[in-house]
Amino acid sequence: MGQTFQQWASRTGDLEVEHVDGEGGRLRLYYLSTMADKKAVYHHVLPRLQELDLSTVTLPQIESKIGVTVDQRLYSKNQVIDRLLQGDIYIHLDQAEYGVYFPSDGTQDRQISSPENETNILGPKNSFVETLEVNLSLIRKYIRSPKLSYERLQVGETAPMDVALLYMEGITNPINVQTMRQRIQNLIIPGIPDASTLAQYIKDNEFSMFPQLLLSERPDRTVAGLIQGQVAVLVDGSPSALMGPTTFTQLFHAVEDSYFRWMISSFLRILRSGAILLALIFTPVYVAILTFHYEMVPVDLLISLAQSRSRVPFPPLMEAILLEGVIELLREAGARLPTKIGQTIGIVGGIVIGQAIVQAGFTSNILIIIVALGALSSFSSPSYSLGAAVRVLRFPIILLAGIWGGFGIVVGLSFLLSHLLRLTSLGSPYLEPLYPLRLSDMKDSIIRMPISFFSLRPQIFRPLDERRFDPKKGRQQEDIDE
Amino acid sequence: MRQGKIRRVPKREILLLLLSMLPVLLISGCEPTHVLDETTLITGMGFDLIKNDLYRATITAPVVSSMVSHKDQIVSATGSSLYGIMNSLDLQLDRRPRLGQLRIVLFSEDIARKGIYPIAGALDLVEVGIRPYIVIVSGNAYDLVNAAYPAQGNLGVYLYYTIYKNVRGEQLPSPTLHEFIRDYYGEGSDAILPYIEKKGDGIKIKGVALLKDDKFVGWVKPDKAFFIKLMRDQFRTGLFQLSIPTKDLKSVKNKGKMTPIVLDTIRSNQTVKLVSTNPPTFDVQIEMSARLAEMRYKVNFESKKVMRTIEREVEKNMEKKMAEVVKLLQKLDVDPIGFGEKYRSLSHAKNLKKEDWRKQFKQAKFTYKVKMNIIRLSVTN
Amino acid sequence: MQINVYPKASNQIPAYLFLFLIYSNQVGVGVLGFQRIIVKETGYDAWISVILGGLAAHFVMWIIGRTLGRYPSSDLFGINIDVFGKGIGSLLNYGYMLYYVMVTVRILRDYIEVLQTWMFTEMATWIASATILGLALYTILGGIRVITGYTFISFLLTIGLISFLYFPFEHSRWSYLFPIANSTIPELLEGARRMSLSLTGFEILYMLYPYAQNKEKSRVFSQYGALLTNVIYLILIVLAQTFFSRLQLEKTTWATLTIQQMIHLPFIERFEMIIVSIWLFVIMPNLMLFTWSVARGFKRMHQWSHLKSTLIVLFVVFLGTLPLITREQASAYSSFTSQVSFYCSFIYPIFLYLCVVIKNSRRKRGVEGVPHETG
Repeated sequence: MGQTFQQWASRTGDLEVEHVDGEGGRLRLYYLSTMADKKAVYHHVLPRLQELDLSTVTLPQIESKIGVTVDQRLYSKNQVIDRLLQGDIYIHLDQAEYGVYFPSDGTQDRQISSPENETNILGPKNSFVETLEVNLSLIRKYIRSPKLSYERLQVGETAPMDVALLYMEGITNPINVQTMRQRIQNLIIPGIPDASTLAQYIKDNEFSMFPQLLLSERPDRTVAGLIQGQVAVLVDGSPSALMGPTTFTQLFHAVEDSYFRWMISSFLRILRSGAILLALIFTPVYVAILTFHYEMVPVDLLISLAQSRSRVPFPPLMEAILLEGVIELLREAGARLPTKIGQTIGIVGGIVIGQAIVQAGFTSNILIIIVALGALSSFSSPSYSLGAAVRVLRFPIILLAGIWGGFGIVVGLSFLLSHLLRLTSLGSPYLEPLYPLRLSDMKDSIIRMPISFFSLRPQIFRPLDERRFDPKKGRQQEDIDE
Repeated sequence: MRQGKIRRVPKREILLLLLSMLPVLLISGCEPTHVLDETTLITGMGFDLIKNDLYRATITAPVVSSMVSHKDQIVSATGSSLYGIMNSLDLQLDRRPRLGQLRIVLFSEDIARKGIYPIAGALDLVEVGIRPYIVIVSGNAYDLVNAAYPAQGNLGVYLYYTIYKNVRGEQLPSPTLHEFIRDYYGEGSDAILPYIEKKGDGIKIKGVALLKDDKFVGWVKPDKAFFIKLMRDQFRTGLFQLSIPTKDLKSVKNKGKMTPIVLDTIRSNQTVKLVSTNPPTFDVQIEMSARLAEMRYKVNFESKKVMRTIEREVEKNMEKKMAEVVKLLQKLDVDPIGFGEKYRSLSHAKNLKKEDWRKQFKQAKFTYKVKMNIIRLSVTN
Repeated sequence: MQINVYPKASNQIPAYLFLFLIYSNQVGVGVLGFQRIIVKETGYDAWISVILGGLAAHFVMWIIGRTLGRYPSSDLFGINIDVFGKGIGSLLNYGYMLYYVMVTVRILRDYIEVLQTWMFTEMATWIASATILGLALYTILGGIRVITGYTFISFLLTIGLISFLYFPFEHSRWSYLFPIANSTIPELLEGARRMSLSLTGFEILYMLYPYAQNKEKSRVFSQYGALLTNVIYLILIVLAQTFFSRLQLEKTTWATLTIQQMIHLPFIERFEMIIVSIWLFVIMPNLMLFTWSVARGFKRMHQWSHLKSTLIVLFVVFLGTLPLITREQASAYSSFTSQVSFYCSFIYPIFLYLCVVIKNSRRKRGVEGVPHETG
């Protein structure tokens, strides 16, 4: 086998080689364990080959024995790789002019469920499962390219677990790959139950609440990340992939954004970012205004505010923390209970408790609106971890608002800004493309520009091959009326 | 745990985080709050003079309580300073009186004749802001605030919107605290404030009060106030009515001697030129365009000549009235139009004091020129 | 001590960021109330003084750029030592560092003063000061890159507030700008000199210069930054002059904030409360850049660790804010700092430039080569 094939084989962890006539023999079977049908190998090809006289066998004999036609002869390495990626089994005989393949497809009968957390309307509806092989085959189905590299690593001393490191050869920056590989290899831990645990072990700053690696349960999103130049990590037994480096703005991206038209996705992204800001400061602003800055609200609005609060015995700070606590409690109870009961809790909590709380004079109905809006906004985040982070961050900011009003809120936000600036993801700045300012990466940040702007891969991933497509061809246009 | 050089877990970061939170925890609950429901939101305040240097303040504040239905709280207190009054109010109220939502300050004519700056100046606080309106009341502020207004909500808010609307509609000059203090300190202009009275179950804006420094010296009706504004700044959507002789207007059936006409959507620009400095001589030029909104007697509006005649008549009429208004102002020795401001900014007179200007203003001479343009009609033949 | 320093590539700052660095370091708490001091001096011609002061800042920045351009990659600390030798040079460095500490104390104290005037009358100075310095410390520990990032983003967050000035502009009385040039030249110059404390901060270029990725361009962008500052100051002085009558403005301590009280939107009033809060974002770059520079001075001269020297500097600043209790003390301190800043930020760079030129010409005549000249 040639040099390129060797290289490819070395970064393809799922390439299986079967020596039909023993170690050092002439006849070998090649197939990808994630793609090929193992039944075909063990029930069809291998038994028949073993019926032949292996010391003198020739390719025509093999061909007739296992029943393949002349069309299935392969003459070049690229053809071989191509067939292997299709899931076929390649039969190789040393010193032969060509090899043959036996068609198979092992991906058909695998049970794929639809995504539960990252749901969508447009686009593919499959999600990762708890088996690494299946997950890899899902990704291979999208990227049938020899560039896709798969490194098999093992993590865990007590309970070793397979970890797959995926990247695109020639696109992904080797430094990022090396960082990720190094971090995984350096781990000395008993074992990892899930990809999200692995993320905590290898993230840049473990004291941060913000996710520094992207977690996704969707193959299409993982594939999009890989093609852009991200490194992906799959863990056996975990239905989610880790991707890095990532940025803060990527947390506002949903998979569907690339399926919608650019204006719609831009609008949705702005909406989501606004919602996160709202979730963060809406309740604190309420507390600040009612505790310190009553001058700031026009008198008509203020009177109705005061009216709604007139029966509430608590100061605004306590009122807000109480109600935020109730909302969090409802959310938590809903998440813990089985789905059917969970829905009941939602209704009971939302309507009955809300109504009763206002009637009992525990909180004002304006605060109910504000807190509910804040909760709603925090759930609009495509990244569940970000929403959760914001919901927790809200409490210290509410506290600060109750102590120092508007100044307190700004103190909180200032700390948050410094923190985000200090964060990195696999060593890349977290707030990019805002800082460091990279205008070319703005095309896919809080807004999403039309697809013809996407000719270059994002700089944040420092890709080796920057060009995604030729922008001139993308924009070729005829003049009007021609 | 992960090892090696990549592990840059900054332990000091948590420490610092806790350190920076420490003062927050310490201060917790120490900062004096202005919690809304412990506050009496004073929206309006009326001042009367009881005797020398003793004021009575009457405040109105919305009551927000579930026990009583929407009502106003009206409390009076006497004192010789704003702080004294606030203290005395504090003793009468269950919630801390605060001035942060103060919308309107009423001064009775008695106080205004003695000067409103002692109180208005004291109100120039960070808490109050610079936007409350200052209004002069014909008669007693106490009576005006204390009366029942069945149709209105909180009096302060009601009065505020009454004036706000008229300021927006260019019937009144904007009488904010800031503008009063600006004119009070300004070298070349005097403040004008709305002049209101209680009328039946409501409130009526009688006209515009003229202030010399901070002292009330007289007032003018809205039609005269129109000319003050016309010369002082510009109109964008003004409205005015006047009468013109019908003599030269052809084809008027059942002629009266005069016909009232109404002009609206007036746009005007003034140019005041200082022609000479000793005695100060001003050339007041007004350019205005308007729509003819109403005219009692119908004329041939198609005719250019007729329209020209109407315009001429309006111009003449206005020039005459402007002269009258300025005469009156010179007699009262107040300069709300800001001729002094023009004099100061154009004459290079260094360190012009208000007193110096007042002497000059008495002898000032004026010429007027109005250029009127009727651009649209809303009347039909 | 090394005269020239070459920071590693990952810490270098792109040239365009110097616009924001210079602007943010110039605009601080002074912008909230500088008008009164100028108007007291030059009355109706205050805006001319502001322009003159701005031009002076441009000129001094040009001089600073020329001075730095004579070295490949040096900062004020290196140049001082190079020109005046180890003894006097170090003394001058300490002097400049002390000046920076003074400015930092003044900015922090004035901001706390604003907080105490507008929001919390009884807020304890030490608590506010400790909190703000704690925030600054957390950011400074991220290094110059994070400080620069904070500066950049705080600029983006606050520059939009300018648009709200449209509302008070509607209340302007333009005649307050006239008569033009009624003041004497000395009065105008004195007014311009009074601007020095508000304009100071551009000399941070002395410290940041080695970090510039493209040295030539960074000087150009710094001038743009100063230009932006001057435009902002000009807008604000014109606004204040036309919004207030002269005597009224002389009595208004924080004119920019008072003006904001005029803004009212259907759902929000008293805009200055938001400004006072958000201004934390504006003064933080000031505090961070100045303390970072002082700490860097220690590092350059004594090779102390940046963490250690930052902690010391912040502690000194913290102690510095404590004794200024009353408003009089604070304002007396401000005017004293203003005097000092005139000499340190405007006169000293010119003096230094002359010394560098003399020194270089002497060297050229001398036998030995000049190791650090750009040629």
